[in-house]
Amino acid sequence: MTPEDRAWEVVRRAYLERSPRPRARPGNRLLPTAAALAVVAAVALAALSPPGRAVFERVGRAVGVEPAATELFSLPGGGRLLAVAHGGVWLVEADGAKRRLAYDDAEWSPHGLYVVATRGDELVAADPHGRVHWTLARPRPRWPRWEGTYVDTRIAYLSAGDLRVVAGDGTGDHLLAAHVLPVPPAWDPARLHTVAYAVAGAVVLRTADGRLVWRRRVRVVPHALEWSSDGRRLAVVGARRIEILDGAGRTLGVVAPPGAAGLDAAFRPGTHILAVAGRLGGQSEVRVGGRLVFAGPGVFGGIAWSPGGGWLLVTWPTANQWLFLHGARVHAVGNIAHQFAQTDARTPAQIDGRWSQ
Amino acid sequence: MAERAWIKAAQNGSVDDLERLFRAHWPRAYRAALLVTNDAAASEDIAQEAFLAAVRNLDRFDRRRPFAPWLHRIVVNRAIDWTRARRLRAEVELGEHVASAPDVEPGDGTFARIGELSPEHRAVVVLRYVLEYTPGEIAKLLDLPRGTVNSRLRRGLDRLRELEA
Repeated sequence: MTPEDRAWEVVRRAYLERSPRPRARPGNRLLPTAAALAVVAAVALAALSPPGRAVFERVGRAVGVEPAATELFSLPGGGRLLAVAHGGVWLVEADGAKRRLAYDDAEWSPHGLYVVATRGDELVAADPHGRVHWTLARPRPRWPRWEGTYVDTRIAYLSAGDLRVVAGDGTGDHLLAAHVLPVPPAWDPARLHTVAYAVAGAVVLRTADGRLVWRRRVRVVPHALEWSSDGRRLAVVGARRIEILDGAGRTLGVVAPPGAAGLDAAFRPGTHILAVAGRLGGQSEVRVGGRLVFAGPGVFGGIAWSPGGGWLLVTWPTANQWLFLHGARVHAVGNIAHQFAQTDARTPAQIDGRWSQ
Repeated sequence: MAERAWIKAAQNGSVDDLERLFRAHWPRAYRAALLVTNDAAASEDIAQEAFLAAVRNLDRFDRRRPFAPWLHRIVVNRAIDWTRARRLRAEVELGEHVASAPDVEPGDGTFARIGELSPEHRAVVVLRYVLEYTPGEIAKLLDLPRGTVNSRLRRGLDRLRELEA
């Protein structure tokens, strides 16, 4: 890949992730699938007259589609969720209660007892009630990821272009790899304290104390690394192509839908079934194991499985909605930007949901 | 003019037109950074960062203005900053920089010697003789008096001639 192509991938990704400009409401199109009906239900209900809305709601219920809820009254799959938006981080409880945490980014500890967060030039470990356990000053820490057992954990994070690791009690912070790509590190679920990260042209698996496990060339400029929960599959997710590796780093296959862009992917917990979201032509789609489960106009932001794998959260900035998908059932929640206090509710930025038990 | 159409379309969400804009301007932006920094990796970062700045400011960009001078201003200023910073770092990291090979292509004639100039002289020579801006335009791009640009050009060229002799 030439420097020009590498740079273009980064620029294109930044362009796709920027806040969209306000646009005209998409037109109502009746498409022949339940997924398509969900699109119309979610986007167009507000524009219908009360009688029209009633008819539409009846049709929607008949095919398992609910009208978009105005608020996030509860998490359909239970558990707790960290909603990471440009405006900050929100903790969402199973009953829908939301509390803002004063951080830029956050991620759960392995058992959901704590969060590791970033705030300016600081890495912070706190409990979900906001009590800070320790802080570590590092330049621009990003994408902290926490793993381990109840008694022995590690946190990997990026700082100033380098990958660093610190113990869960805030001690032993050290450089693990310099000049890595700006991709969140991904701990191997099958090997304790072993983390995958991306460098130019390759993915590397290394133990927290520095031992190289493997390094594999990939033909993807990744923006995400996603393990299956048994550590036997690693999805190297690029904008147009996803390379699937096994636990030893061997390439098992490639997912590259012709014409697709803006891909995101996540393995369903406990399985090797991959959910893939991306843009195809003028609309975006979500497929689970290759089967189309939802399609809609505009851009999807990200996807996340509930801890048990029953629900798939799809963020949909274009429609200012979150979608909770369960089989053919679609539970849409609107007004997301307002609920998570975006600075400009007219142009909702991407909001990522991170689910825990 | 195609460029204005690309910018307008990119402002309205067209990735394809953003790519046309990027592909049209990348080679000169990268080459300008390379000639100032003499470091391929840094040049890639600098040119890429300039395009990222363009993306961040895309919605506010005035389409009546040409894109290239705006981009080159960012590229050249950042390349000068990077080169100055490297000189400072070299005092404590000399071994690392001695080990790195120069990245300007061999056979590049006069421009292969641009690395011998100071960052300030490199910048004006590159803007004048590679990117073909007039001294008046360079003065605006770098926020310098026109006389300073002219004197840096003259001294830069004199130094290049000395090196070639």
